[in-house]
Amino acid sequence: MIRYLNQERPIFLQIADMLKDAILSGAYPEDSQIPSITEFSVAYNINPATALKGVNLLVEEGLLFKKRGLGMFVASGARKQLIGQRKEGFYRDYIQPMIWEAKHLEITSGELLEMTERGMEEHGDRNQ
Amino acid sequence: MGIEISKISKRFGSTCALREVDLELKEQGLYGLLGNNGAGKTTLFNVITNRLYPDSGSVRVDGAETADRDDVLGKIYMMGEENYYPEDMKVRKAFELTSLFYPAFDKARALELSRQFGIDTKKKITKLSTGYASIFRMILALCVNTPYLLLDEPVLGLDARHRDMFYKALIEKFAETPCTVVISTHLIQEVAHIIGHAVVIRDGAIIKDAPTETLLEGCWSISGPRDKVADFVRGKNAVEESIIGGLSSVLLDGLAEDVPIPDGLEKQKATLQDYFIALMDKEEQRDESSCSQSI
Amino acid sequence: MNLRAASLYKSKNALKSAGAYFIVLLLILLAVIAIARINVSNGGSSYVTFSGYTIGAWVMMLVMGITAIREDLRFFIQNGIGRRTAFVTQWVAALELAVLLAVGGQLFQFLANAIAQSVPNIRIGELYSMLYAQGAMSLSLWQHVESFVLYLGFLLMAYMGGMFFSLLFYVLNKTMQVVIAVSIPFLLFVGIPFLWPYFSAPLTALYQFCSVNSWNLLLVFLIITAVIGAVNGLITRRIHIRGL
Repeated sequence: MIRYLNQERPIFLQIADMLKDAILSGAYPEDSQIPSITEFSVAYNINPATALKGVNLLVEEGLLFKKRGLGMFVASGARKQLIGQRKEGFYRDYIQPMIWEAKHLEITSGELLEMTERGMEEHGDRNQ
Repeated sequence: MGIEISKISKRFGSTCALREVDLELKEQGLYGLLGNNGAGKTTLFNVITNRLYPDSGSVRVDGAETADRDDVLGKIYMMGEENYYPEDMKVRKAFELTSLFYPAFDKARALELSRQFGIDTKKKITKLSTGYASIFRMILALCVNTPYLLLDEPVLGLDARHRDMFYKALIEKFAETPCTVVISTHLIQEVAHIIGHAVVIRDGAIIKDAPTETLLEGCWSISGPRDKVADFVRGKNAVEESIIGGLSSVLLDGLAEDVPIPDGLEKQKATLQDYFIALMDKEEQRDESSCSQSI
Repeated sequence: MNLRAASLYKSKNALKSAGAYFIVLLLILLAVIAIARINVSNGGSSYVTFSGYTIGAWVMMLVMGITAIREDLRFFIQNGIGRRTAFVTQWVAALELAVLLAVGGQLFQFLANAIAQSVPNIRIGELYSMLYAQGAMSLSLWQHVESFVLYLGFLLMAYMGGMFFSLLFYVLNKTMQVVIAVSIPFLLFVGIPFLWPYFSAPLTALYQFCSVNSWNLLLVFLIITAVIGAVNGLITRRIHIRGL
């Protein structure tokens, strides 16, 4: 969860990212209600319109839906959808930067693979 | 609907406090009136609330002029820097009386906020310390529920914790009962994420009036090794530059989102404060050059 | 004009102030009577005239006039009430207070008269009785009416006068304030004696006019009140309301 906002990306995108992380990790389970716009904007000290923008982004992507009179809920299948989204960007967002950094530090292909395997072992098999 | 300020000018002796100010606050939202001390923020607020009359120009709220009309004046509530309450009135009494003038005043909320902020409601208003006097005025402002709310330097004199509490209370109030809020301040970065629209005022004139998103569009700070940065920013609109040894950081305006950043350089979105300072510097330079021209 | 809320706010004070004043004056009167009595029983023959109520009421209205306007302009504008309403409530409050004090004055005179029967060397008088009833302590019903009305004019004049000076000092800068402050005693002690010969004729005529009956004097009071009141209104119209 992003407790403090940074200057890298527009605030509403950071809110959206935070919501996606929370859905992925199970902090906001599917079919459960998420905090209100008021709560988000108060927690992050931002304009409610900005918080709303972030939430609406997920609504557009079908990850959240609104229940009349109650609030925002996580859609069923949202986790699967997010995993799918993130897998697509995984190469671009994680592998490529890793490769660049490895090249800067003159790490070989073999060393890289070794490290990867070691990492997978150390952190166990997370199939959730 | 909204507040329409047309060609307001005000002079105090030899000082021109406001110069033909035009401003329209049409939609509900959180506006920031940003400017340095003496820029004219308080004077503008005083004119809007009819505390003083301008030399020329008019103010209309929801189409009607404010001058001496209670029904119109009752739509705007101002939290000023000075105390307008009688010498020996107690906080609690002030809350009761506010209900008399503002039927929508949420007294329960006011008492709850007083408890949270730690104000003794049995104390006389004039006996409150600077910080708590501010808090008292702020609590009233947050609970009157008027369509228009003007907050003049609301956090001046407040410690960090109270400032945080204030912003949270303000956002909560705004989220629950949207209205038009104008926060005037010189603490730019504190309100940067809260306001949706920035009105920049300098020397009595409005120099920028736009949604914060629009103002900061294309505003990026590029930093890295000096030469690399210089190469990259050549031909682009560099607003400000700061140099430390071999590193430099340049504030660019008008940089398209998708321009690739060379290896070794870092790109960061400009903050509202960066933008504001750069804008003020540019205006200063412009003043100085026109001064030297006339000499 | 949101007169209702504003007037309500002011009215709460008026009754309190008038009531407190009445009680205080009564206590003072009793003290004075007691002292006079002691004096008599000790063989003294001093004669006491007590007209404290009139003077006190006048001062009270003056002070209210001075303090209320600034306080009210500020308080009202903070609560979305404009200058015009603030000014109108001054008149309403002044009238309320004047009526209460005037009624109190009649009551006071009546009580004083009753109490003082037993004390021969004390005379309690008020404005009307001293000017138009040869200082009589017991007034007829009609005389009470005349006294009451005279009081109203007298007290309203005091209120508007107080308001005038308050407003004057509010709008003038420091230099002008000093000029005014200095010129008042100057006017009183130097100016008036100097100008007296030029004004003695009209002033004597005025004096005679007022001596005829209390209604003439009332008219003069009301005219003065109206003139000062109008000036106050003009000043209030464009005044710059600052905080404390």
